[in-house]
Amino acid sequence: MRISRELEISLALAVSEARRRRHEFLCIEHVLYALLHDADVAEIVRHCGGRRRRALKRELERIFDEKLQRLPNGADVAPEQTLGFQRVIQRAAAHVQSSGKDEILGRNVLVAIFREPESRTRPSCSTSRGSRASTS
Amino acid sequence: MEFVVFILQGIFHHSESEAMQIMLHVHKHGVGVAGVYTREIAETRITQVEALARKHEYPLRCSMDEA
Repeated sequence: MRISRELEISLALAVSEARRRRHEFLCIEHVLYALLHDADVAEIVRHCGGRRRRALKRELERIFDEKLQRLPNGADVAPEQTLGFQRVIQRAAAHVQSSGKDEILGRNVLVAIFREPESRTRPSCSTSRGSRASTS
Repeated sequence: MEFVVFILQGIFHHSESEAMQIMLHVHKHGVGVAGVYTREIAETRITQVEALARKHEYPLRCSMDEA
């Protein structure tokens, strides 16, 4: 199984966003933020009646600023993956495998985020008509 | 006690004086608040603390509650 080129770019963007903001952890919020730059994922969110991409990005930026601590000045360490991040990727991989495909796409990761319990990204995604059922 | 301070500084990024205060609270009351985080970050920090405690063989308990 492999990760699609677009998802690879999204994950790299998520890491660089966490690093740029000096966050200690690579969270699901960073992944969702990066996925919104993927045209395919943005289109799905739009069709599901989710918030507009710009509003969703603004809300994620608010979470980044208000809820996630920054590392002390001078500390430049690679952000560590949270357990939630690992579960999301594993879930997406398991779903792709069980459906007989061999490439994990951004949309698979988006669906996997909805299964994450009490993630702050869920209310953002499921606003309006968006739900897991309508994204899978 | 030193290990609790070490954890509070190393994992939770508290200053030495803050770490001492929290450690003394744990010492007196049996429990103390290491910090308030999102659920995702809290559970990840707990696994970091548990791994370190196991490695150094300290029976330290770390858990999360809804704030």
